[in-house]
Amino acid sequence: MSRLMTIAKSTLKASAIATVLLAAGCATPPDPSDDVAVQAFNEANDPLEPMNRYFFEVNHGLDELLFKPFAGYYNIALPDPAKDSVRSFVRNLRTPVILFNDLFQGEGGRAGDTAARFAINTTLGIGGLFDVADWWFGMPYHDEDFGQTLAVWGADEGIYLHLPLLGPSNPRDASGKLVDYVLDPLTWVGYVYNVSWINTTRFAVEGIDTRARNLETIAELQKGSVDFYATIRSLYRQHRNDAIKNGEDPEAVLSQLTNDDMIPADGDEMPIIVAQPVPEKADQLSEAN
Amino acid sequence: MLNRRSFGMAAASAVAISVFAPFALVRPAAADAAALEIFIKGLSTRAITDLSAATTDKERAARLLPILQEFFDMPALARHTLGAYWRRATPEEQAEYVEVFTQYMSAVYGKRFSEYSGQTLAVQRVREDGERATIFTIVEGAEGKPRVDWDVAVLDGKQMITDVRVEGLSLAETHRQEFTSVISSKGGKVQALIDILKKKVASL
Repeated sequence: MSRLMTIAKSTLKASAIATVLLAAGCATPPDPSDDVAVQAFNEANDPLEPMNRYFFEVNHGLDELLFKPFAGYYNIALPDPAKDSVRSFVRNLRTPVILFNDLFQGEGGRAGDTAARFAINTTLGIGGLFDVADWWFGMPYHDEDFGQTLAVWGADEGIYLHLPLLGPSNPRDASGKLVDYVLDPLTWVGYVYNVSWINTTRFAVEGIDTRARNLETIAELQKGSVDFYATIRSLYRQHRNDAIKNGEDPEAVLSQLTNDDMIPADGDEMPIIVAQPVPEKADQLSEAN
Repeated sequence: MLNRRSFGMAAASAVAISVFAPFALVRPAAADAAALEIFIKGLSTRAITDLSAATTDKERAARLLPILQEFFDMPALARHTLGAYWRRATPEEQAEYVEVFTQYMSAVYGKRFSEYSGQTLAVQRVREDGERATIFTIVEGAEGKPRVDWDVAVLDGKQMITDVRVEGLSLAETHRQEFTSVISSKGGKVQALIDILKKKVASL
């Protein structure tokens, strides 16, 4: 009974904190008569921007303090072939999740690749340490997750989220992560045999390896950027869209770009409907044009 | 009324066709896969020879600038990266922005050539669509052989790059989101972005 009370109390506390954060974290929508600002606001699709920026800063601080130095040591300590083996090993462990999602998306060919890769790399590749399926059999690794499956099924990404520790996301991809976690046999192995450190370690290793591989790219990106948060937000979305299309279908990418290209030829009307412009503002608008 | 109008239209287009047809034959079209391949190889060779000789980032930026102006439609790219705010900018701001944006691109992307170590572009295929085309390439010698797609448009009979996508990440789109976010946070002032970019260029 008292245990139930404690759970109830902590749930209440957590939801109270979440509510406060949400309330403080909501972005102020722009003046509805300022059509350009409204368009920029809608396009960013980031109504929780202040909260997201807060977690972005927190993650960035953690990165500077912990992950980046650690990834640096990892880079120095391990020669490239060793790093490749680490990556192959954790990738091989992900096979069931990738296979499920290949199948959910009706990608029979890719599912076959995933299964064959697992069989080859686990045996000839000595427990997944060597990606011989790629080297000798021409079957390169591909990723899939339930966030992508949801997208293929027609789910919208929803608003942008920057989550503590996990980084850029959205409701679709975040719930996808949860489903992947449940789908993963290793999760259940961890629970049943009381060895959940396996999953924690795997998560950490994946993170460090990815971070180590991107040390220079991210540093360059940050140096050149004038709004790193917005850069990451844009890159995350584009990366996910590319992953959903499995890097193919450039036609769709092209048409999406031209649709987004909202620069009308000079003299054209703005392709936006202004919701009841305040007279003064409307005057300013026509002057600006 | 309608008939007369459509007759007029038909006559006008007949005249237009007969006048412009000879030029259409002479003008190099985008729709020429071989020419596009030569174009992109030309860009890559030019960038590698000019930039690998440079020793400092400032020098790299200075050498990249004329290459960008020659191969990229910088005014169009600049306009795209401002999104709807382009129309909010005064003609002076627009002109200043195009200049600063070109400098910014040279500084940011010139730096990346310091890590150049013999990678080459391999053209995979070309998709043509009238005046527009996309050249699909991969970078040989780089980890994972990343895909790089080049959108090309024909401007005044000359091929010009309008966007570059690396593994599906668009240059124009990414900078547009970044820049419009800055302008929005500065109360919609384009001049604020121009000042920030100037500072950035000076610091790089």
